Amino acid sequence: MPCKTRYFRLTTCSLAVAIALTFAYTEKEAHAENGDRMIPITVSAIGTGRYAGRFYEVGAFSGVGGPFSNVKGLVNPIGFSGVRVLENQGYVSKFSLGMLVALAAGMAGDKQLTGSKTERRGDYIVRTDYYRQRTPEEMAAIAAAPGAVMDGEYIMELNVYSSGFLGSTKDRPQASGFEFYLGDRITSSSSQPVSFQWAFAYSKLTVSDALFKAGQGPNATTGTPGATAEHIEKLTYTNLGLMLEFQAPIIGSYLEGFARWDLNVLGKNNGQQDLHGHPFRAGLVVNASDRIFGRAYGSVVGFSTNVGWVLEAGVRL
Amino acid sequence: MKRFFLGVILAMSCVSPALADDFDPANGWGTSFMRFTGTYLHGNTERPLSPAAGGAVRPAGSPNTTKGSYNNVELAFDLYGFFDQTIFGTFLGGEMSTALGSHGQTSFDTPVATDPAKSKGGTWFKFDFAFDFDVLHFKKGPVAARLVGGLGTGFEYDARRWYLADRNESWRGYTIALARLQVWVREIGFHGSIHYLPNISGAYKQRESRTELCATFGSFAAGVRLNRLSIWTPGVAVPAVGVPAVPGSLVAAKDDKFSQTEFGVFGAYGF
Repeated sequence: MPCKTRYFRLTTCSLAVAIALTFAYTEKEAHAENGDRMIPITVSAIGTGRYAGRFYEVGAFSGVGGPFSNVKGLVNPIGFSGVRVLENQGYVSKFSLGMLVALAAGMAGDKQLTGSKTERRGDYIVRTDYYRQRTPEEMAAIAAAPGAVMDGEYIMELNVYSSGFLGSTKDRPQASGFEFYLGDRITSSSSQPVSFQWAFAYSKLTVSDALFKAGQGPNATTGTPGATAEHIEKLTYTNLGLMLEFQAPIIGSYLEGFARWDLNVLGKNNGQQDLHGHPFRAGLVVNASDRIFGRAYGSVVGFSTNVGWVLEAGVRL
Repeated sequence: MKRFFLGVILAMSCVSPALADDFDPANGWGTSFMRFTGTYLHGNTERPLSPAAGGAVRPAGSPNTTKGSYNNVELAFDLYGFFDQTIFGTFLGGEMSTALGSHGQTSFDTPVATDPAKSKGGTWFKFDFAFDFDVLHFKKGPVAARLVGGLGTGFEYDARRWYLADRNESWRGYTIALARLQVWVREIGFHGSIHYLPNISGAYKQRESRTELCATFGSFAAGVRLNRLSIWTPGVAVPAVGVPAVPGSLVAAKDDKFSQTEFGVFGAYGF
């Protein structure tokens, strides 16, 4: 099946689901007028104000490039398709973080290590650890930490990339893996607020069948057989670090702009096949209604002139 | 947050409103219910031959799989509830399920090459929970409906289940993706759900689905269940014909796929 046809079908199916859900919600709002619904919501009125409340976004996306957009020598660019889920002020992030902090609090114990001394006694090396008892105030703070974390509000995003959606071939290599973000968002107090988000970021993407031109690719200079002709190599991208995002309304509640930068602390590429870039993405969010949206953005890695792009259609729940 | 967990505690304390008469899915957050369930399932399995201790000899012309059947009974306690909602009206909640069961000894069509120690029945236990999202719900006249999706995780202990015993394991962990459609016409309800449970532990790649269809009248429910399990072996070479296999290893080709299907009936009481 031609690649464009597959993209078209994916996008069409996503929009069909979104439209169906909209009709369903519209039906609910009709009941709202009769008092059945608890929260009446006017279509296309919330815009960026949604970040002040609890909601989810689920979208299907497809595109090319992404964190691999700076890879040189590819016969065809790396493709992406997958599902994005965003939780704003939801319970999954609260619960997950709360459990982690509760685990850490439980392991902290009632004593704190203050130092160690190592000395030789005859044939033995003896290490002596020194502890102090935690104060009641410190114990109370540790005990209160999980509850405080669960009382917080967070924003969590998971992008799952699957080569299975469109099928990965050497003519159309597709990435598999995920991008995970967990952090917080600061918003202004206006009705259509601008917002700034920071988040812990971890990503792991793999392309098993990237087709490189003769003499190109990570192993082109290492004497790998096949490097002198068109050949397939495996690429991975790993990101561990901080994500920064700025989002602002452009036209009321209908059109928003955003820019996102992933700061990768892993530094230089770990070998030429394991990439550690700092993807920068900028694009637009179109709100067809409060619950139906489309996203389009371009992406670059470093100072590469190769620009990737992604299209997404989704619903807010 | 406190309201969410308070809701769970209230539900566990039997204080929550009953589902049967006053349930309104279009105004349903705060509603919760519990369910006691008894289930009987008949299982059919096609599994790799596992040699007897000491090394069985694979006869010439014999297949490397065998078919068998067993019976399974279980008692379960489930808890469902929605305690908050998003700005778009999606109800947020969760569900927990605990089950204690017992499966009988498996009767094989070709028992000669099957390790008897890995065919015995045994008691099993499972616990799982999921975050639930009631994404669509409405009520119009006597008809009400809701569509729920969920994500969660759980674990199962079963020292006698062959795919665990064969690798000297006794438990497995799994993730959950679920969908549930519920439709009511006055007090009569029809529920259908599917849980998809890929495992996250163990030596085998397992893909399990649990499908449930039932009708409810007031607090009572009865229906059918179908559990399907597919397993890919980690890749143990098939021994040559006439050569003793290594005890404890599967006599299976790499990436061979095996299956297990359980089908049966259940009855439940919700409150």
